[in-house]
Amino acid sequence: MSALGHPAREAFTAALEACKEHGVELMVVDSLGPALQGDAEAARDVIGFFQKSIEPFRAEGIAILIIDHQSRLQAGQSYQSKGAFGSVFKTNLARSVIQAQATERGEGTLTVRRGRRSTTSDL
Amino acid sequence: MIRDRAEELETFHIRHFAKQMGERSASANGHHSELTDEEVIALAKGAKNAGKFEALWGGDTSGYASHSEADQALISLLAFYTQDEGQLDSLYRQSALCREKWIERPDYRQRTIQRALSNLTDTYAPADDGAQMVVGNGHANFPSPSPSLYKDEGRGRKLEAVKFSDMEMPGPRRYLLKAIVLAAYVTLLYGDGGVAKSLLALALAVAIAGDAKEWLGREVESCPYFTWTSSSTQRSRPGVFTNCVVVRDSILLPRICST
Repeated sequence: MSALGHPAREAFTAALEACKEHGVELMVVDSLGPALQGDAEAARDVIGFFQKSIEPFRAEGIAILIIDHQSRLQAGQSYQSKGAFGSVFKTNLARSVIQAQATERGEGTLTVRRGRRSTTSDL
Repeated sequence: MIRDRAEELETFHIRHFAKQMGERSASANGHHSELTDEEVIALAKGAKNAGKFEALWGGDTSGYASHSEADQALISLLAFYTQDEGQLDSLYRQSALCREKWIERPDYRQRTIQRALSNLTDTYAPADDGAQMVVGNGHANFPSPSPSLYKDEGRGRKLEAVKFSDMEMPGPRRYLLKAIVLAAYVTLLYGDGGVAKSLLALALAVAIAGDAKEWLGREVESCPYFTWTSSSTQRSRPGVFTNCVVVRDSILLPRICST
């Protein structure tokens, strides 16, 4: 389906209907920035997004995998210490949090390490 | 000599500026109503107890022991829709119940409003906006996220306290990707640009949608998935959403829409 020209909120509503129709159990949101359509650094916007756009999917038993970015590294910072860009509620409201890090870049290959924390498991 | 015309000025102010104030009224108690005065009135007139509201709004105090009790009843009805003290005051002044005592006695106004707010047990929530509830003494009017954790549980249900000992033991956690992606929960995958986050997510989704038993050494549970992608992610049209729907074993890869 195409949600071209529609606000994200409407598109999420349509996506939810499609998920219910097809018995979908995993939705990938790629990526959070454009879907949020708000200030990623504002707790109110982030919490509102989770509450209004994400929670209805969870209420239907659908898992949501959200792709997000992190802020640029500053001098002296380690990659692993960086969180998702913006409000801490992005990670606080997620049950599982994964950081992807490129460790080796070769010709036609990219090695990615999974890191960071999870509140659920043995990561 | 300058005469005291505070009352006339207040009347003038209410007559000419109350509407603008009502649109985003000043909030004495830190609450900012999402509704304008007109919207509050319209909602009250369309509610099940509209008859009661309209009678009070029209100045009918019959059925109440005193005018003050009628005042309290009207403010209590309005407080369901707005907890903004300034807006409650403004609304009351627009009603036919408004009288000198309200205008001249700030202590009376405040007491009446505070009593209404402290007795609140529920507040208005837009139909598409999940539940908004007042917890505790009624002064805390923070939107409460829907309490549902799983399908349909909790929505529209009145909150009640339960003992842990009365609750069923939860079953084992259900994962779509063992120990990483929990069913019915949010997983956040983040990192720098260009570290293949989207590709990882797509690969995982394909594994889940297919018959793969494992992905990167972890068990996967087979189920359909839906991916939401923005064209800005595809480096074409910022802010425009395109499509990609995958249902179990058939995959429609993202297609940039150009209409």
